[in-house]
Amino acid sequence: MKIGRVAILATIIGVLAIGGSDASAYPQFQFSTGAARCGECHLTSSGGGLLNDYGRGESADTISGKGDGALLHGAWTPPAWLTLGGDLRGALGPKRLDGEQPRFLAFPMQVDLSARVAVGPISLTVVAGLNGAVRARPDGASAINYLVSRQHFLTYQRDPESLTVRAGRFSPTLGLGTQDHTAYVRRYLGEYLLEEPYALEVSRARGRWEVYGAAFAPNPIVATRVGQPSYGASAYVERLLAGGATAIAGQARVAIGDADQRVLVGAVGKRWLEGPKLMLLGELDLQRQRIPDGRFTRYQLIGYAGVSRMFLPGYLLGVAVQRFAPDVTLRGTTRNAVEVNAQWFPWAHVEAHLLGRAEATGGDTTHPNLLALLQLHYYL
Amino acid sequence: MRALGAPLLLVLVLLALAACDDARDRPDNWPYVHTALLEPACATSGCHSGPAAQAGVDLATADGAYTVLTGRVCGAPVLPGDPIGNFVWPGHPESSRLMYLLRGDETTIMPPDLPLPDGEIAVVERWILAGATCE
Repeated sequence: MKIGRVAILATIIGVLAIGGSDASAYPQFQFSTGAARCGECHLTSSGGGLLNDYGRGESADTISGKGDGALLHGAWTPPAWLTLGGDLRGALGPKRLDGEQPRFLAFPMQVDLSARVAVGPISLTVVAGLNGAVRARPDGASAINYLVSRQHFLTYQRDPESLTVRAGRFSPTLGLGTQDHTAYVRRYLGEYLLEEPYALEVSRARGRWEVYGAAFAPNPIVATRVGQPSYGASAYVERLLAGGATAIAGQARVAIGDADQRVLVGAVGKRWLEGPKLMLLGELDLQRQRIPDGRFTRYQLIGYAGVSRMFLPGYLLGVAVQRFAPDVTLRGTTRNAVEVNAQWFPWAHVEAHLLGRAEATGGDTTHPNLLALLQLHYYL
Repeated sequence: MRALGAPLLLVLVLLALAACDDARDRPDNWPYVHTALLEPACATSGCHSGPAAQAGVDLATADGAYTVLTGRVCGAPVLPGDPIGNFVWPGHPESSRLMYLLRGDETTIMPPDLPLPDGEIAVVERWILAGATCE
C-alpha cells in the first residue's frame, strides 16, 4: 500500500497547477490591516477580485510599505468608469511521485485579467484567463481548452451600504472566502476551480451586519462546467462584534442535482487580538448529502482553523489545521491537514508565498503527504 | 439557545457515531460509487472533467464515467464476447487497472494530489467484486 508512504510529495502541485487560485480575498487582512470589512478594499462587498482605490492604496501604504498600488504602478490612470486588474501567479516546487525521481517544477498557475465597466449604479465585471495553464492539452484542443471566464456578472449598487444585486457567473458568498482553492472549505464545498455556477445574489452590508442571499443554477455550458450540476439557494449572515474586532457568521445552502441533494449549515468566526496582533479564523460546516439512486444518505464535516500574524509592513505568517470527513460514520476516510504559510509583500503588486502542508488521509497521521511550494504573485 | 438545540444535538450524535462503520456498511452500487467517491475526487477542473480531461478520461457524469471505466454502456445488455473494461474488469478487482491506480501499485497513484483513503477504496473494490453494474 503506497498511499501512506512518507514522501516529499508535491501532491497539491497537480491541483494547484491546473489553473491557479482565483482572485479571492485574503481574509487574514480583515481587521489586521485596519479594515473591518472586505468591501472597504474590494469592489465586491464580500471581497475578492478587483480592488478599489482605497484597497490599492492600502496594498502599498499599509501592507507592503513600498511602491505605488495603483494600476501599472500609477503609470496610467483609466477613466473613472473603467477598472482594470489582473493576477499573474507562478509556482516553484519539488515534486516526487511514488516510484519517480524528485523533479523540480516551475510553471504558471494563473493568468487572469479583470475588467469592470460602470455606468451609474450598474456595472459589468468580467474575469477571464488561461484555463489549465500547465496541463497538456488533448489533441485537437480548441480555444475553450485555453481560455475561460470564471466570473462575469452584472451588479447593481448605489453605494456600498445600499441593497446590492448581482447576477451572472460567480460563487455566491459563503464561508471564509480564502484565496486558496485547495483549502478544504473550498475544495469540498463546491468552490473549487471553475465550479462557479450562475447565480442571482441580493445583499446588504450596513452597520454591523452583512447579509447575502442567493439562488444558483448550473453553468449551462457543459464544456466549461465542473462539479456536480445543482440548483439551489444559499444564505450568509455576518455580524461584527466587540467594537469591530470580531465577526461571526452563520451560513446555509441547499443544492439539488440529478445525482445528489445537499443541505449545508455552518458557522464562520473571525477574531482580531489587538495585543498580540493575531488574527484567528475558523469555519465549521456540516453537510447532509443524499444520493437517491445510491439509496444512501451521509453526513460530512468540514473544518478550518487558523491563526496568522501580520508583521507590517511586508510579512504575514500563519498556521492552520483543516479536517474533512466525507462520511463521518465511515471509518478510515477522514482527511486532515496542517499547513504553514509565509507571505512576503516586498512592494506593492508583488507577493511571494511559501506554503508547507502535511496531509494525512484515512486518519493515518504517521505517513503524511508533504508539500512545499513557493508561489510568486503579481497583480496589475 | 433553544434554536441551537437540534443542530447541536445532531453534531453530538454524529460525533458519538463517528467512524463506527466500515466499508461493508456502504452501498456497492454505481450511483453511490460515482457520486460519493469518484466524481468529487477525480472530476475536478483540469483533471478528469470536460473537454480537456486528462488521458481522455472524463468522469464527470455517471453514465460517461461508467462507459469509460467498464467499456460498457449503462443499461445495454452484456453480450458474450464483449471486451472486458478499460479500467474495470467486473468481478475481478485484482485484475482491474482502476484498483492499481487508486492504490498506486506499480503505477502513479490516482488522484495524485490527495489519494482516496482506504475506506473509500474498499467500497470501490466491493462494487467491482459485485459485478460493476451501473445500477
